[in-house]
Amino acid sequence: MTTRTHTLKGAYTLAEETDWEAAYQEYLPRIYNFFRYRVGDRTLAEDLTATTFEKAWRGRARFRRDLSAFSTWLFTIARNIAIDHFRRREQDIPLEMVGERADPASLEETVQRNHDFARLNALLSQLTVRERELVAFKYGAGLNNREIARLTRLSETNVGVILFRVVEKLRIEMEVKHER
Amino acid sequence: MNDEFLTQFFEAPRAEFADTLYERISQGPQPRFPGTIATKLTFRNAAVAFLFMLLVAACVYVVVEKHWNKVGGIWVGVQSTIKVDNPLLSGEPLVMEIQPECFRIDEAREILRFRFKVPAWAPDGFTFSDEICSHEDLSPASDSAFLDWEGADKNTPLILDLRNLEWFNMATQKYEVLPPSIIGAPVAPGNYEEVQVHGQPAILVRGDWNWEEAPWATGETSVEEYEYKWDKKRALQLYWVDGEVMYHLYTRANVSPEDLIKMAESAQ
Repeated sequence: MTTRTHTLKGAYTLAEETDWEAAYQEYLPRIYNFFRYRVGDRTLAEDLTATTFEKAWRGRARFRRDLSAFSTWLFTIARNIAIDHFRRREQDIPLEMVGERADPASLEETVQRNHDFARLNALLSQLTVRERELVAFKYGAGLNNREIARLTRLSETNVGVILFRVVEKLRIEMEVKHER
Repeated sequence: MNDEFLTQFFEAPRAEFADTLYERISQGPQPRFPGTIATKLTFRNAAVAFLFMLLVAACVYVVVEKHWNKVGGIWVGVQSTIKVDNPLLSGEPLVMEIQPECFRIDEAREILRFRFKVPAWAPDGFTFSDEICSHEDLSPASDSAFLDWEGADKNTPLILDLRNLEWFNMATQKYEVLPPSIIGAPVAPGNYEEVQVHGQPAILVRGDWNWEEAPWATGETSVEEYEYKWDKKRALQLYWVDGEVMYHLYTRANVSPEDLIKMAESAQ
């Protein structure tokens, strides 16, 4: 049995006290980029971002005033939406096929930036679900290792080690592909 | 760490998307603010407070001959007594102000990721609040919540706890379903029996521990520990599983086991 102390007094604030416009401005790009790095598709990232904010908005009465708690709460919603998305997707597309669907060669006619991201996306698709989630939190959402650890229930050290290995692996792969 | 190749792809969302989304959600339904159930259900809040007192004292929790029995597919922790050291002597904060937050059922169905049923029938004299509440933030990550039916005596409501047994195993990257079990306080031997809810095994528990009678409930600090006793007439409880959700009906009102089962079977 674990001990857990609740200090809820004053934790909840009324919706009127939250600057929603400021919160929306700050977190929309981060949530959107979390999904973009997580699923690799702009349109899908927009859909999942919209779902996240719609759910958050409906339950906004429980928001806490300090932005750190708000951030954790919002990214928890986003994370679960991503998990649910992949769970539904597993039913018709095997995960191991995802990497094969992103074909950088087919995007050569698009702008260079899109091409590069597609190439990165192809590499991200080859990562494990956990590795890709950590990359999305770090580089899409802009969270630090401590915040990621809190969301994923990994240790901060573990997050750092996994990310270091993944980034090194991706960097080498990107360089190899670039040289080809 | 050279990670510029990863950071360079951060981009702003399309302005049209951002504006449209903001407009859409800001015109959406208005949520209800957290309820003030603390003022109307004193028994439940007292029960929760005592539960936390028990948790605070967890470090000195003494397990006496606890064992597990599997009854009708549900694991029951069985224990004859519970001894707890006086939490007032530990220096830990004791009483927390606990404000549950409540949502309408339809709102909660949108928020929670697990599907749950709500009894359509309740014994005479009980009125459903039409709300679902939680002492934690209610979010898609929530795995538990509760509903209540207020009786003529406001201190003895019918409470239905929901617990989602499905969880996401990060190690296997798959959703898994936990084996159903009675968590929290154990049951005293001989006070539970297997019954049926819609032909499926369920567990009826007669009684509860005398949580409110610990001496520290009145601020007593001269007693170092207390041994809770089981009171067969204190409460009636029914546990059952439907899908991936475990349900727990609890009341201290004068409700018959048959009515409790009837209520469970009306869930839809």
